[in-house]
Amino acid sequence: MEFILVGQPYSGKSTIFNEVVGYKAFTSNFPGANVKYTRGSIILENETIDVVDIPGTYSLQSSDDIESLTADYLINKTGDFVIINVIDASVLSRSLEFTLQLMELGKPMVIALNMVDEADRKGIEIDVEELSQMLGVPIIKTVGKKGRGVYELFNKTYFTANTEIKPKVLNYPKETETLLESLQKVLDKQNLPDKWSNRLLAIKLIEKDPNIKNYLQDYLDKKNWDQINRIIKNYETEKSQETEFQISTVRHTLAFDIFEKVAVVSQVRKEDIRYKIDNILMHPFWGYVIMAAVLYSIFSTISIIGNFAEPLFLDNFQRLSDYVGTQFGEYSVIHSIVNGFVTGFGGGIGIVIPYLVPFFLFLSFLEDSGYLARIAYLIDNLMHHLGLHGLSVVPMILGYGCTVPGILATRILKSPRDRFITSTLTTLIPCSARMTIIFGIVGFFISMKAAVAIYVINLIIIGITGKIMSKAMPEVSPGMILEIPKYHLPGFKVILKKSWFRLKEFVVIAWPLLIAGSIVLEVIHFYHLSDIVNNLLAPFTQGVLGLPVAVGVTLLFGIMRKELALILLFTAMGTNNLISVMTETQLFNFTIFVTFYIPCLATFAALSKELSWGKAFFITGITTSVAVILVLMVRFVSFIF
Amino acid sequence: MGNLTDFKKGSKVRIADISAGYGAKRNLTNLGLSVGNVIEIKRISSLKGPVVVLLDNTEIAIGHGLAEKISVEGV
Repeated sequence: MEFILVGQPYSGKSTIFNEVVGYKAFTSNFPGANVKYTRGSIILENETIDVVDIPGTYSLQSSDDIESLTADYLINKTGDFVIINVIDASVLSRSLEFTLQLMELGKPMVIALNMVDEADRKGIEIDVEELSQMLGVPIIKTVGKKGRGVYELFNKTYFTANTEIKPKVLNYPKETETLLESLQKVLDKQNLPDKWSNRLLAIKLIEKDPNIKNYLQDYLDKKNWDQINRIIKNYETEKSQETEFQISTVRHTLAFDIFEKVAVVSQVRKEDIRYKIDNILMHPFWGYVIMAAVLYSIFSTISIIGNFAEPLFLDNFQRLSDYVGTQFGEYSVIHSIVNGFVTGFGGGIGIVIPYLVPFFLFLSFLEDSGYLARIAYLIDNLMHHLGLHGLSVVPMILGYGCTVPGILATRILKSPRDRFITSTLTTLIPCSARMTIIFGIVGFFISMKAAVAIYVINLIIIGITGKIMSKAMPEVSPGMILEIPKYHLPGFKVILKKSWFRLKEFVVIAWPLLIAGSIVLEVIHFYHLSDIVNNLLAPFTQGVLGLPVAVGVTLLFGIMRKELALILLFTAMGTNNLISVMTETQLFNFTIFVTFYIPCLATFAALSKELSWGKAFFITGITTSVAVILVLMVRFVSFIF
Repeated sequence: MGNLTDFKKGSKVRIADISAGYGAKRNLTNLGLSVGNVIEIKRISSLKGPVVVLLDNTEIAIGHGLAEKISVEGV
């Protein structure tokens, strides 16, 4: 038995899910796509029930990639299940449009009328009994954030599952019904399997659902299709609008009629507090000032916590590895392996606890409070020049702190295309580890101006890359369409759970890679393979990049963690005064190369998790080519002058 | 008559036509922004930023370029 939570974005669906399933949830992918949904199980009346939380969607009739996956999932779902439609009671009319679509599926269904407290505050009074009667769907009032009504909801759902109560079939206006009937007549003559009702199929035909069309291909011949197309075409000519847009106008009207019948809106105080807040936060000047302040304080809080906590962890792991040394003997291969393990493990903790934990907490808060949408509003115009939308700025800004959270934050973007482009650009942004290298080498040994120049070059590269990628992958739907949700103080528990969840996913992928990588490098070190590696890499490091042969291994270590490249460069060159052994051009090129080349392992893991292995390699290809091209350009310029 | 960006903050308008691409049109429709529906303009940003409209108690930001493709008439 499955309960599927379905609702529009910001309906509070995931809050209800978290309340019930909690941290025992895990994510799955939609078949054949890198879009995740969450599931977990609960026990009701001694029966184990799978609870599924699928991504919020506005409509079952959609063109957006993620939304259409959700729609496909629901339409094709078979077996024993009940739909729990979570509705934000304060936007009842709009939510009902989606509810009407869900009802058309003809599956057992329950409505969670969520956030009733907010609706109350807005002066919206809903006659639940009446609404339930009209729709033929049981309705339970909930306040998910406070856990109110949630258990009644699940009990009711369980009950509904066992009684097989199905939603009523509501009638559209006469002309729409006539259209549906004539399509149904064509379908009735065929011997279709009773997977779906012919009414649902007719509705999907006027919605021009590509998957249903595909499905019907097996059962209808050309004559049938001609008939169907003619019926639809005639109707469209008569109304001078496509049927797929008409049906949503019709649904909009129907939903509004139902709303009028069941809800009373008493006169509310004129200006909602939200508008007062928005007048400041979305102000053409102050909005930006506040946004900069908010992001800056998040950024600096994360680095303060990180800088404080990282050495604590690393020191302890250093001590652990020293202890291991005394146990196995300082120079044994086992010691190297154990040491590599400890370093990788400790490195993982060194990143995860100090940087990711606070980051995830902040991100979840920004997202759930509704501020993220305001940021998107403010920055939309600027991001359009990169062929992206406002929301893309968030991962990029976070990328200046650490690339990994930046990549993970691309999840707030809806379209896979935007996620891919934004991930690529975020990978190019110098994170704080790379900042250490830029300032530690170029800033220290050459000049501050040269260090700033690297940042400028970086921005130019990001601009060019963004332009090229967005030209190469044109948008399906250009222009931002984004709901600006009301403000909402997220529950602490929900934020904790959300953060824990994101953290868990990251750890599973990045940690093993870090540990394995560290072991390999320690072993290389133990067998004094460094020289061999350096010589193997020499044609590239010396030939192409014009750097000393000894930097080979440092570049390999830099892939583990970028700042290792800096630390090991001192060891490799045998001096802390780098300028005595390398030319300015070499130092500049080394820094440029390390800034851009292969993303660190943790980033790579995040990329492959969020996008795919193929795309992660593609992005690595881009960044490495950029690195090589830039170095060659610098060499060429310095050769001329 | 005009497009969304031509009206002042606070005006109530009816969507007359959407001349955007098919995908954008569907996305707008999914949020209830379809021809015939009445919306209120809540916020117009300077610097060619998005336009925020109110529909059924929900605020929706529409990128400037897209907003220009939505013809509306005052009501």
